Amino acid sequence: MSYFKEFGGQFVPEILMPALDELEKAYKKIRRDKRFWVELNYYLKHYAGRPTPLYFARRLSDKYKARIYLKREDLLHTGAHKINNTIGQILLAKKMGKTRIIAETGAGQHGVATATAAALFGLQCVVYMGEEDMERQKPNVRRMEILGTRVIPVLSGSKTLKDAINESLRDWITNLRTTYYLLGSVVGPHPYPLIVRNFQKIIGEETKKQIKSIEKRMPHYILACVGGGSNSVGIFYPFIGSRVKLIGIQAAGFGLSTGKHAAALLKGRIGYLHGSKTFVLQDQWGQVQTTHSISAGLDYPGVGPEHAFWKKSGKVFYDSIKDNEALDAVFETAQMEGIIPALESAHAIAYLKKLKPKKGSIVVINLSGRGDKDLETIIKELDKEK
Amino acid sequence: MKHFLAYIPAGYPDLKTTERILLELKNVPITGVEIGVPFSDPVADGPVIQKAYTQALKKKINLKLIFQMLERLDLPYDLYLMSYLNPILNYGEGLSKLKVHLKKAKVKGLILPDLPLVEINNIQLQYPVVLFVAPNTTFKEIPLINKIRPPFVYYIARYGVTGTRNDLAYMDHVIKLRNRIKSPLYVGFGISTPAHVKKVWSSADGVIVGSALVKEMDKVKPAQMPKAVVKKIQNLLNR
Ligand SMILES: Cc1ncc(COP(=O)(O)O)c(C=O)c1O
Repeated sequence: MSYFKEFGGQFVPEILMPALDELEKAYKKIRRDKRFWVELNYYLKHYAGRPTPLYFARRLSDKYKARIYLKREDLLHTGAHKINNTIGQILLAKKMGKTRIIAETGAGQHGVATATAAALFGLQCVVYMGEEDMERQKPNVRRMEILGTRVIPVLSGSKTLKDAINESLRDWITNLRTTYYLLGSVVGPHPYPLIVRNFQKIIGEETKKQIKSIEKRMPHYILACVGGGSNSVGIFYPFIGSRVKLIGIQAAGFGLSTGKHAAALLKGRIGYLHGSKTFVLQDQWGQVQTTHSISAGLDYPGVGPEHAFWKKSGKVFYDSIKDNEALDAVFETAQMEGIIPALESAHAIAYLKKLKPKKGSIVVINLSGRGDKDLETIIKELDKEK
Repeated sequence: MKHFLAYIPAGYPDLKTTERILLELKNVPITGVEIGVPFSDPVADGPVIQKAYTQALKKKINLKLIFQMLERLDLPYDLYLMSYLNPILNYGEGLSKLKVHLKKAKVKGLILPDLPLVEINNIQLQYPVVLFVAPNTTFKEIPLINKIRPPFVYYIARYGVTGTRNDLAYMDHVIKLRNRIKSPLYVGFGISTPAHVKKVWSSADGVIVGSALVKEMDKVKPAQMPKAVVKKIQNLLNR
């Protein structure tokens, strides 16, 4: 099935269909192939650094009168959860005999994680990145280049993540036979949302084991930020249908009423973007809107179709956090826990203030990445305030 | 008879120019026109058409304005709307109005490059749609195509997006498909020379030309665009 109830599907040019079929077939094969998972787990453990700790954030816990845990995806190699997916998909690409890897990137985290995995396995790699994002995330552009990847600036449309995905799809349509498109989130046409989720659900599976062993019970809440939706799907998926309250946090940018945000699940209408039927921020005429978020990784007008399904069926609750709230959370986490979170992840942490957890309740927050890539943005914001 | 479809992006550089081009096209022996409805995220299009769409959207072109123009013009040739799913299914006036407006504008069918065969029964659109086939389409899809009986079947002549190019490969596959498909088979994507047109016509029912026309428009001022398009079509038709 290529759908999550009514969401998802394969709304792509006919010429891509055989490529999607080929991908699906290859994925089904490795899904049952023990050797594949042994190899993947080897790299996740010895190269990427899994399992990641579930860290009890003592001072934050004191402040919010709850038991707060941070799932430390920020400690992974390359600094975010993205590497879980890229190593998985690179191994799949190799099995399929592809020699060239293409990827899109917004914050640059997925681009860096792809460039890293491509270097590790000696594959040629091209990353499409919106010109505007290249400006915002310069250090990541350099990192990709050092890793031997060619970064191609995308000048079309709004020059951000959505246009980078368009450009990657165009490249893929043109170079189907040699090229593997390594999508970075749970978006795009089937089978991508499924493949990426299954490579990311290790976050939730580890969390389940860890919280059981520490607290001897399930958490009350799990918080995660939602851009395309991969780190959140990853931590939520194993808890879907349980009594744990799952909260996905989208980027409210300057505020939901300003039109300058990226909260597709809260303000979008059902539409078709990047091959998938899902919630899309769009105008009256079905034109996809440009979004705004302080965090490039959340700056996307669509959202993974599984989230659309979870939203509509009430399995997950979605809310939003503004730029300035996320920024405050960066400093709070840095100065109380000695951890500088990525601006994306800071949206999840900032939600503690809104959630006001009941005294003693257990809250797990997915710390999807570290803030090194955001230093320039953070410093700029600081200067503005001065 | 061999068919010729001309693709014109609506609202590029403005709707008035589109109107004048459509009127001028009454003077050439073409089967029809594909009106390109601008979309913010045209994944199947190359830089030439992307640019046209971006400019049109800057001018706030929308489908309702396009319908109003088409209703007023009452053109003698076939009309198709080429767009993407989102601006069609999220038409600002609602889906029931969409059908009314399509009929009033005498649109013969919709061309939606992000609607592949597998999804054809999963969308709520009770209007004729043109189906796509590609060099990698297998014969197992043909029964479904023949069951739907689209106004025509659009053969994508290349691995890639819209845009002009020199060679024209994969034509042997066209002949095989045409023998099995009941609807007329038109070939598009990359057609830009009289030799292309001749080659396509020797094996398919029609040819579709898009980026090559927009490229000619780009060479002149808006006032000269209608003539430039007609001249290019005449050149392609070898007259
Ligand atoms: C650290 C981090 N968190 C979250 C995201 C958002 O993506 P997703 O919603 O797919 O997890 C990104 C994207 O670049 C990221 O770098």
